[in-house]
Formats: sequence, C-alpha cells, structure tokens
Amino acid sequence: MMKRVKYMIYIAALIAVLIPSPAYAREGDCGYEGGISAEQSAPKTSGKVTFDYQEVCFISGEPVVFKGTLTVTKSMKQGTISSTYTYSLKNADKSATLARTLTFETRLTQKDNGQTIEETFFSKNPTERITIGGTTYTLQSYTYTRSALVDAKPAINYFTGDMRGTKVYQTGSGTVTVKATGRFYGYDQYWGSTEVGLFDYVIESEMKKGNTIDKWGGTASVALSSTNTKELRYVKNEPDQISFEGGYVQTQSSSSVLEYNSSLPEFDSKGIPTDTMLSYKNSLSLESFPSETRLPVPDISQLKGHWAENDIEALYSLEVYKGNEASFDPEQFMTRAEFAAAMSQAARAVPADPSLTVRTTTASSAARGRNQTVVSPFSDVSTQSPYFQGINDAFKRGLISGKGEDSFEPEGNLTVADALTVFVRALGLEGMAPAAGAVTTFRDNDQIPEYARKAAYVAEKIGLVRGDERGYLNPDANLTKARASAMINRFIDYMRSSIKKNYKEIVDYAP
Amino acid sequence: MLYKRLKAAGRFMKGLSVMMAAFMMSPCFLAAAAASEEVPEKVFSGIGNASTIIANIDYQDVKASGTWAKEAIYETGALDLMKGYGDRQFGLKSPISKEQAIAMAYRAVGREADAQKAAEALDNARQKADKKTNPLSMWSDGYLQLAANEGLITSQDLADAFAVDQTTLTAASFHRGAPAQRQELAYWLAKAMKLQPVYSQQKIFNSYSDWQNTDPVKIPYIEPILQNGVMNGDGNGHFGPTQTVTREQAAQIIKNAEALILPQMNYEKNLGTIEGILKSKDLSSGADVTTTTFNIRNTNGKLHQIRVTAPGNGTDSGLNERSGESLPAGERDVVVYKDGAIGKSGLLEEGDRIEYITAPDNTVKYVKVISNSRDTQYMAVQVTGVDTANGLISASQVFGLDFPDMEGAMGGSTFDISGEGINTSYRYINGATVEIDGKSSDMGSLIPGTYAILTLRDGLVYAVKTVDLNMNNREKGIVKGIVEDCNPKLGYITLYNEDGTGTGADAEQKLILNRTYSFSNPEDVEVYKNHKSGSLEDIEIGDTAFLKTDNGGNVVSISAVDNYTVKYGQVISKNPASFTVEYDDGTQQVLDVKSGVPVVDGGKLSSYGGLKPGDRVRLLLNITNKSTDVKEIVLEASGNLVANIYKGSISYIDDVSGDIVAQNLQVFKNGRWVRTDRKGVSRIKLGDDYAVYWNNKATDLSYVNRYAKNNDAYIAVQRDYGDRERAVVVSFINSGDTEVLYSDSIKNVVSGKGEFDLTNAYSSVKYGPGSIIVKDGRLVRGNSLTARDTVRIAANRSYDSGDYFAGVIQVEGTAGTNAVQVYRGRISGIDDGKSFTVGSFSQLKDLKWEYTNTPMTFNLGSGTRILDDVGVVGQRNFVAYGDNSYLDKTVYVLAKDSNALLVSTAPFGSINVRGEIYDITGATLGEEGSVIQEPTGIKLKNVKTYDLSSYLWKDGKEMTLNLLKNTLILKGDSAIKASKLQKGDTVRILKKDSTQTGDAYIILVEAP
Repeated sequence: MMKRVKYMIYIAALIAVLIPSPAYAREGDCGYEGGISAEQSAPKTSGKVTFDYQEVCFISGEPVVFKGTLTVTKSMKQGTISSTYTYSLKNADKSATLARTLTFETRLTQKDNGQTIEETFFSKNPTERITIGGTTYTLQSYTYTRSALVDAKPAINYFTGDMRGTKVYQTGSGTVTVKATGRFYGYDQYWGSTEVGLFDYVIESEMKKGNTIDKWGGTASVALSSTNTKELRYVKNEPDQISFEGGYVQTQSSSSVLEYNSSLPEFDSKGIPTDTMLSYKNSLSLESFPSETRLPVPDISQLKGHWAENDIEALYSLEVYKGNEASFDPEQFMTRAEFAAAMSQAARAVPADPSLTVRTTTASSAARGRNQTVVSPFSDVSTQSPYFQGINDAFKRGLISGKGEDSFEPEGNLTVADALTVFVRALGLEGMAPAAGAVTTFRDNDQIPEYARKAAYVAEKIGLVRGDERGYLNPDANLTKARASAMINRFIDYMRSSIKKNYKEIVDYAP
Repeated sequence: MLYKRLKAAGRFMKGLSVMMAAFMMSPCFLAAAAASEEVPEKVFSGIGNASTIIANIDYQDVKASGTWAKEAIYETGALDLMKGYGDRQFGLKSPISKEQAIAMAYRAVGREADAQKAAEALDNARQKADKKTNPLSMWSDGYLQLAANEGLITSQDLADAFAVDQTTLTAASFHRGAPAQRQELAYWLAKAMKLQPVYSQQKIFNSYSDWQNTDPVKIPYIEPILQNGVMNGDGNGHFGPTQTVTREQAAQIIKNAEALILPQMNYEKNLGTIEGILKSKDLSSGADVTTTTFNIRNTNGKLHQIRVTAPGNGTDSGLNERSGESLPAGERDVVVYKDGAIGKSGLLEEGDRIEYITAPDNTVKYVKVISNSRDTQYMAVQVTGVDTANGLISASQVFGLDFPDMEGAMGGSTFDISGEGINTSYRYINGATVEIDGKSSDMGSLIPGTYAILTLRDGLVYAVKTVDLNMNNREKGIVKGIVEDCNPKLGYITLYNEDGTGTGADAEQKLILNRTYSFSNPEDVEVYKNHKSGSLEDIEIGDTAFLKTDNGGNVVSISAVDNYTVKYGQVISKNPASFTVEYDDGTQQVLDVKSGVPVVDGGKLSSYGGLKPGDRVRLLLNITNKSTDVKEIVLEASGNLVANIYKGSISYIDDVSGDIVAQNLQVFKNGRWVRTDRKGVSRIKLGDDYAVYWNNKATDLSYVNRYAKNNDAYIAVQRDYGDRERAVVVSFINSGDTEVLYSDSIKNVVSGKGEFDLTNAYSSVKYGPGSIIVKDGRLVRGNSLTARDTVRIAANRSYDSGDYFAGVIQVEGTAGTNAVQVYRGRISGIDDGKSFTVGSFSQLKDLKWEYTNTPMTFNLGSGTRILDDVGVVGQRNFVAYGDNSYLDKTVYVLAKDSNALLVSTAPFGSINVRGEIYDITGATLGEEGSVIQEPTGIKLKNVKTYDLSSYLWKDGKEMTLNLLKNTLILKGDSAIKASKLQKGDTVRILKKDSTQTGDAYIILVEAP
C-alpha cells in the first residue's frame, strides 16, 4: 500500500513566507466615506497599510476635494475584525484640512452555504474635524450601520453590501447634518479585484448669522470604482543573438476613479445661501505606480507559428503549465491530470487580505508541519505524481471532481463541455443560467450534455466561449492541448479584464 | 404558414387527448363498458414456471416471521431481482456483504449473464489448483470483476478482494465478505442502474443531518437514490451512511427501486380491479386444459385480460425424478401475493384490486392483491392528531382513492389540497401497519399535518402510509421550460424541453407535439412577468416560464422571468428604426429598435432621437437563437466626447506606461492649429481602448515606434476621470504630404467611395478609417457625414496622387436655435421669488437692440441667478422694496421663453466689438487647479468694431477690457463663468464705447 507518503509541509510554509504576498486591495480599502484610494508603493508593515486617498466633501455647500492619506489597520480575532481607518487630508486651494479616525468592529458570521455575513459597528467613538476656509466643523455624532455579504467561490469571492449613516457636525454658529446611504459591490481573486461604491448624500445646514438662522439643503451622489489588475505584455528582444526571442512582463497596478454629482445652493456675495441651485459634476482619479515582473520564458520552439503558440507561451510564462516544454504536443488530447494541474494555477485561490495577514513565524509553522502527512484523495493519483499538488488543490477547492470512488482517472481525457463546467464552477456563476433547461444559441445546443448545460449557457453569456466559424460548440469533442490552452488563456483574460469591465461600467453609467 | 398550422394541429391534439383521458376516468363510462361486449386492450398470459418460482421464494423463515418486508421479499423474488440462499431460507436479519451487495445491484438490472461471462473468463485464466470449486464464489468473482471494470470499485479493491490470503488485508482494505454500508449500496445501485450523478445536491443536505459522515465521492450518486425514494432516512433526519443493511432491508430497497428498474427491463406495472373471472375447458387439442380468464378494469378505464391455463388430470407430463410427483406440465399461471401469502391465481377473487407486472412478451410476472373493493376503502387524508391512549386517529379527508398509491390515483389530473374535508376520528386496529417516509413505524410517531393514505376496513384503520404531496407526489399539471414560442392570437405557448434541448432541426416537431400548451381563453390566463402581473404579450421567447394547466390540459396561469443579457458597445451608425453597434469584443450587430424601447440618458427617459453615432451604450438584450431584441438602451452618463484634437510630432509611444511622447503640440481650434501652453515635449496618456493608424490602416505600437519616429500625427483625446486626457485615436500623417485646412460645408457625399465634395472649395476630399471625424462631439465613422454638414477639415494632399485626404473632420453643430435671448429693461415690479416685470424692453437681435414699448414678465425659477456689481444676489433679496430695492433698476435678462436664467445689473452697452482672446488676466488658480479668483480682464487681438452708421465691421486696435462681477458671458445657450473663457476664443462683446479699454458688459463666445 503506497497510498501514504510522508511529506514535509514546512518547506512549503517556508517558501510562502519568503515570497511577498501580492499587493492587493481588499474590500474596504477605500473606506466607506465615499472616497478612493490607491496603494502607496512604500513597503508596508503587516496589519497596517497606507493609501493615497481622495474624497469630496460637501458640507460647506460647495464640493471640496480632499487629498491625502488613509491608513488602515486591521486585525482579526475569533471571527471579528477590528479595523481603524485614519484619514489625514487637505486641500490647499480652499485652505481646508480633514482629520478623521474611525474604529470599527466587524463581526463575521459564516453561514452553512459558505457565505459570510459581515456586520460592522463603531467600537470607539469616531472623531472628525474638518476646516474649510476658516470654518471648523467638528463631528458631534455619527450613527452608522453597515452590512456585507461575501460569497466565496473556488477562485473568486464576490461581495456586496450596504451602509447607512448620519453625521452631525458642529460649527461655531450651527450644525451640518449629512445623511449617507451607500451600496457597494465587488470581487476578489488572484488576477484582480474590483470594488464599486455608490453613495448618496443629503446635506442639511443650519447656521446662525446674527439674529437669523440660515438653513439650506443639498444633495450629492458619488460613484467610485477601485480596481487592481495584473496585465500581461509581450516584449520582443532587440538583439537577435539571444537565447530567447522575447518574453512576457506582468504589470500589476491599482487605479481608482470617482465621479460626483451634487446639487447645492449658490451663495451670494456675502456668503448667504440663495434659492438658486447649482449643479456640480466632476471626477477624480488615483493610480498606483505599477510594479512589473518578468516572467520565465519557455522553450517551445517546436510550436513556432502554431495557432496556439501565443496562448501556450503565455500559460507557460504564467506557470500555469510546468515542465515538458519540448515535448508539448498541441494536437494531443489533454489528460484530466494536466487540466486539473493547469486549472489549479489558472484559477488560483483567492489571496488573503494583506492588511489582515497574520504574522506567522517560520519556526512555528515548521513545528506544526513536521509530522503532517499528505494523503492523496485518490487511489490512482500518487503523492509523488508531478500533478499531485495541482489535482489535490483543484479537488480540495471544488474546481474538479473525481471519477467514482476515490479515483480520479488522471490519464483520462476530458471534453469541451467538461472544461466549461470547470471554468464556470471556478467562477461560481452557474446561477446566471435559468433553472429550467438553459437554451444556448449554439447550433448543436441539443448535444450539450445535461450536466454542462448551465455552464455552457453562462460561458456563452459572459463571452468565455464562442461557437466555431459555423456556430457549433462541439461539446463532446475531446479537448486537445491547443484548444485547452486557448480556453484557459481566455479564462484568465476574463478574470483579468472582462469581469472588471462589468463592475467598472456601473460607475460610467451612474446617472 | 404551414408552420403555424402545424402548431395549431398540435394544440388540438393536446386538447383532445386530455379530454379523452378525463372522459374515460368517469365512473359512468366504466359501467357502460362493462355491459357491452368489449374488446380487451391487452390480453396477458401466465408464465410457465410459476410453480417453480413459488417453490423457490416461499421462504420458511419469511413465512414464519411477521416481517414488514414480506411483500418486498416476495415481489423481488418473483421478479428475479433478488435470490434466497437456495435452501428456502431468505436470511432476514443477516447483513448483506459487499460482494452480495454488488451482485444484488447487478442482478437488479439484469446483468447476471454479464457477470457469469466475466466469472468464466476469470476462471479459465486460473491455474487448475486455484480454480474455485464453489460456483457461488466463482460467480461472485464475476460480479466483482464487472464492478471493477465499470468503476463501482477500484482496481485496488479488486486486488484486495481476489487476494488469496485474506488475512493479510489491513483495516483499510476491501473485504469482500465484510458487511456493505448503506452509502456503498446506494453508490453501487446508482452506478449499476447508470443513474446520472447529481452535483447540485439538495435532498441529502436538506434532509439529513449526518451527511457530513458521507463519503463526498459518493454524494453525487446517493442524491439520485434519495431523490427517487429508493433509500430513505431513519425518520429522525439521519441517513446513516455507514450503517449496515440487512437482507430484508435490501429487499425493500430493491422494491423501492422498481420504478427505475422495471422500465429498464421493459416491464410495466399496472393497477386494476378484477371485474369478472371466467373458466372454460378446452379439449380440442386432446388434452384437458382449463383456461381461466380474469377481466381487469385498469386505472385508465381499459379492459385487460389475464389468461391462465391448467392441465387437467391424466395429462401426460413428466414426473419429478426424486419425489415421483407429476409435474404440472402445460401449466401457465401467475405468482400471486395476497394477504401476506404467496400462491397462484387461485387466490384471486372478483373485486380484488390488483397490481400486476407484465413483461413485453405479454406474460404476467407478478400479481399483488392490494385489497378487495368490497371491504376496503382508501382515502388520502391530512392527519390532524393521534390519540394512542384510545386508539384513535383524527384526520381530514382530501380525496378518496381506489388504490393505496398516489400515482395510480391521480391519472394526470390536478387536485386541490386546499379543499379539505371535515375532520373525522377513526379508530385504528391494534397492530395497524404504519409506514412513515417509507419506513415501518408506529402510530405515536405520526406528526399532525402530514399527509397519509388510510386503509379502512369496516370503518377501522388497518394501515397508515404517509405520502409527501410536495416532494415525491408533487402537484400535477405544472410544467417549466424556456419559451420557444408564445402566440396569444393562436392561443398556444411552446416550451423547449426541460433539459434545454429542442433547438435542433428535427426537434421542432417534437416540441409541437409534446411541449405545446394551449390557452382555453387567452384573456383568462393569469400572467406574471418578472413577478408582476402582466399579459400574454409580455411573455417573450427565451423567458423561463412555469405553466399551470387545468384538468383539461389548458394553461390557466403563467409565471415567467426574462433572461436578458447586458452588453456594452459603441453606436457605429444609426437609421430611423435600427442601429449598428460594435460590442467591446469587436463584433458588430445591426439591431432593430421597436417603438417603446426605453432610451435612458443621465437617469432620465430620453428618446431614440437622442442616440447619436459614436455614443457608448449599455444595451439590455434578449438574445435567443431566433433573434436579438433590444429591450433598453442606456447612454453612458459621462459621455465620450472628443475633448481635443492635437497635432504633433511623435517622438515615441511607450506601451509600458501608455504615454504618447510628442513635440510641439498644437490643438485644433476653429479650424486652425493653435499652440498649446506647454513648450517642447508633452505626454498624452493612451486610453484603455485606442487605435493607431498609419497610412489609413490600423497598426500597432511596435510598428510606429519602428518606422515613424518624429512623424507628425493627429491625436483625438477624450476626457477621463480626474479631468485627464486620454488618446483614443492616433493617426499618422505621411511625411511627404502637405496639409490644407478647409472651413466649408459638404455639398454631397459620394456614397460608398469614402469621398465627399465641398461646397465652396470646389474640391473633393477622401476619408478613411484613419480620419478623425467628430460629429456632435463624438468620434464617428465616415458614413455619419451628410450633405450640408458644416465642416472644418485638416486634409493632406498626397505627394503621390494629389488627392486630398482628410486627417481631421470636425462637423460643426447646427447654427444656434436662439432658444436663449438677451433682453434689457427697467424693473417695474417684482413678485417675490416668482416673477418680475419690466415696463418696456429691448431685445438683442443680432447686433442691435430692438426696443418694444410693452411690459414683459419673466419667471424666476430655482435656476435663476441674479448678479449685481458685487456678485451673486439671492433671489430673496431681489425685491422691489427696502434699502436695496431693485425697483426702477435697469437689468439685462437672459431668458429662455419667459423664464429668466440670469439677471444682471451691468450697465448698458450698444457698441459691438469682435476679437480673439489672447490673454486673460487677474485670475488666480490654486495648486490643485481650482479657481480661487475669477479673472478680471481679457485682452483681444484681431479686433473689429461694428460701425453703426455704415453697418460695417471696421478693423480696430487690440483691446484690454475689464470683466465685471455682473458681466454676462454667454456660450452657446448657457451663461458661463469668466474662468471658463479660453485663450483663442473668438468673442463678440457689447460695451459702452469703441475705446480700446473699458468694461465688457456682455460677452458672447462664438461657436468654435
């Protein structure tokens, strides 16, 4: 019985500590005050991240753009995240400053279906002090509630939430009340993350001037999006006489945009509000300095000129494919083992929130890992197999299932329909398909096996797959390595950019 | 036409068949049929080996016991689905071993022969010494081999099972003789029956708390077993995956699986009542044969006959070689189960309600007597309470039944469980059988509220069997699917198949026959679309629909939701009823726009007329394999207007940072190139989607970086978030060409040739993909150009051909509609916050003030701004009384119709001057670019002054003018702030005199 093989996990743990985790924005990196952020390039300490930050403030009756920094510290203990958002902002033109500290407690409740409900409250009294052109507004009270739902899928976490809050500011001569409601949507995954926020404000001011009380009200809406992307670019070498022709460079960057619309009263020459309402509309943007990484160059010269050469090269560069470059045969049918291993890399697990990274010392994880053994979930996949890690990971995360009792059929082939189910399962988007027998527009719709029907429908809808030149999907065809490469690369492209568009466009189309 | 008729025909057939079914179910039909000489629909015969089977399955241990599984054991035995030990013992309580379970699963699907073949092959391969002597053991090997071949067990398991020395096996090994677990049996049964694994598990997660103990690999296979009711929990929410299975339990499981197994064997299960028994003797063949015919009225109202034959005494037949008894040769009888005993047809009586299983060769494999109609009554009830102390069960009747079985009772009609009867108490007998969720139980466990079938004899309850009306016995008459066609006029709706198929060429006919449902009256159909009340017209192709049909099979209610898709793209061209869109993936499509399709602009309903070529749009589409319908068009709120067009010499384009590095940038303004503020090199960011053209062909950055260093190019930019400019088109100019500028209008467009003629210049200009064409501020294709468009063009005369090729075409907006007028008058009264009146007024018409001696009233609105010499005045201070009264003040009024937009107290000016702004003074900008101080002055060059006496513009000297707090600045139709004035703007100004200095009272920015 060679099922069990001792495997020292601490080596993997050691590597994990040495490689810096990808710099990624997570839910809440823009805060919930209707502003945008971009990560600073300066190195960060664990649990504390500083962002360049911008937001628009309407309390003075005129939009004032504040710029500066937002520092977020987060820690997690027993299902509760404690977070502190410290804002230090100014606007020189308006001689304005803003200092704000919000300390939240977020309770996470994991539900049976794998979704997590987040509920957020203030755990300390919030403080805020805004000065605009000589007038100081001090936060007197802030009632606040926020709740979010996180739905974790094999390769992506989706989240959505709502917030509601009322701020009352005190100035020397009166008060300003800001009522805010907000919604936010987003997703998080290895290839990128996006968060979209839509906020609506009602601003009400009561100021005493002499014996009269000036009252005015205005509205504002803010739509923002914050994205992190990994982009891939091929750079051809200038010199001829070099061992490789060129290679891929991966650029990782974050960018945020904000658009605001407000309707506020015009002030007369003495600073008294009038009945005339002025509309303001403008936008802000922030970008991080992109970081670049050179990717390894595979030697697949035998494929030079092949249709799928670029896809295959990209997948090798991204280390979705590993090894056997010289013998890569694009016309060969892909095995289930190869596909599982590739998908485990193409649909990688969602990286952990960097601002929540738990400090783990190498020693302790090594101590814990020393006596652990790795057992293959399948009798026909040895832990020594080069595909074991990939199959094990893909299976554990629910990307791909076994074939029968504890067997995986690693040498078996898979069909186009099989591959589509894996893609759509990774994205967790099966729910986009109608419940009662999804009908696709492929000409061979009737040939799609029942288990793959929803996946085929969704894949068509989100553009993961298109029919061939005659409109056929050929769902039962065995997947060749060439077609698999094109499909996997397209899947990564979707994760990188297409899905981002679907979220970002919300801001573009916000009225 | 033919198509529609087919549809109609399909609809008719549907209605007819349902009608017939309903008719046949009525009791009067039954009575009438019995009286006449009726031709039976089917005639069945007995089987030749009934006696042998009965001898085999009349197990002594079963007979003696009171096992609840008796019926299952006899039935599975009679159908040869399960075998005893061969010694007339069944072995009720012995757990079944793994190898037995596998054999059982295969036997149940009739694979015995395959297993034997596998066994023989195995045995032939064995060394003589290893050959198995026990045939049972040998056959068992065959099943195991088959199981390994078909993935029921792994090859390792098989190796374990075949290990000669079984004592070497570890705990984790596969012990063939070890008891099988429930989850294993479920898995093997599902595999052997070739049930499709179900990956979206519902039943196991929802119903059983111990599902975590289940092997995850097996769950997808256990699910269909549970869904089909083959196996059940223990009644307390446990499935018990690792528990063992006794043989009596196994028999019940196999019986439960009959609904899946029998169709595979082409066996049919029928229900009916014996109406009459006829005996006849036939001596014609020389033998004395008695034939008994049983007339059976089945649940469909049809007459079935079972004929059994028994040879009389003295018939020549064989003898049993051991006992010497004569064998019943020529006998064809049936195996009958009645009142807990097994026997032959002699047990059957008139009035017996029977279940009979028939084979394709028209033999009857098994007859089970359920009850006799004379003494037994069944009813479906909702249990309301159980009084175990007094032996009473209270229940309300839902409906009566002929058989203790839902399937037979319903006959395809719907029933209404809300119309329950009155609550009645029934006494139950001691030892009444209680079956809850398919498991034997006791009265005390009956939960009030559950639905059950009661078996009553002489008013006493003999048996209670719970039924799940919501799950296994669901409401009938509900169908679901994707709408293939819906035609309220012809009165039908067709759905695709429930599994999503039905688009193939030959599938259409089947849909017409099987998936077309008619409306008895389209007006009466209750329709919900997206959960809102609607009409049949709202049901669209591609919707997910649920239909509810009545007893007649007609649709009475529809609930449907749409399956629209959101797509983003850019409008390429537009016609009155259709437009062409280019989606973000580069594909193009022509979409028809039906009237009533909402067009949304800035959160407001707009009209299709508001959609312009070049617009970015979000489309809500109903995409089906028949057509693509537009359901909603939303214009991108921020728009994608071309902010500027630049010309410059491109140093290079950095595709890493996305920067265009260009020298000596000039901007296209009023048809001329004007230098920008920045000297030397400028950087322009590339947009997310950009296009680069070289020689009128799209190309990539590597090409132009290689071949076009320091080449001139036109660059169109849009404004992105944060006011940044982003290049969307970079179009390179052939270095040998010479640029020509035109300000002209298009005389005619030579369609299809990419060419148009100019009105004044008498020359024709070509355009192509590389031309930057801007119309309504949007980047458009050449096909959007029309005759009479006023255009400003930067064209290049080709060094080679002499043709003029447009690099930039800017189509001017149509001349102002003069919706906004400028008036001047003396205020004669103010109605606070509502309106004000001028006693008489002058209106600025072209260059002159035209005086009208009548009062005029202007409305004040929330947008009306009032400016006096210190700046903004609140409307509440715009009053005709008090210290700061506006009564008798002379004001300028900018008005649209009679609604005032702006009121200004600036002094009167009548001298028109015109010039180009070359400097703007007095403004302070903050570090962040915001305006801290509005400009206080402008400097003009190329000045002309209008001479009122000669009606001519006369050249003047340059001017330096002051801007007042209440200077009225008008651009297009709206008043703007002074800070919005730009260098290079051409303006017309009204001032007091024609001197070179002074105040500007009104500034009209002329169209660029």
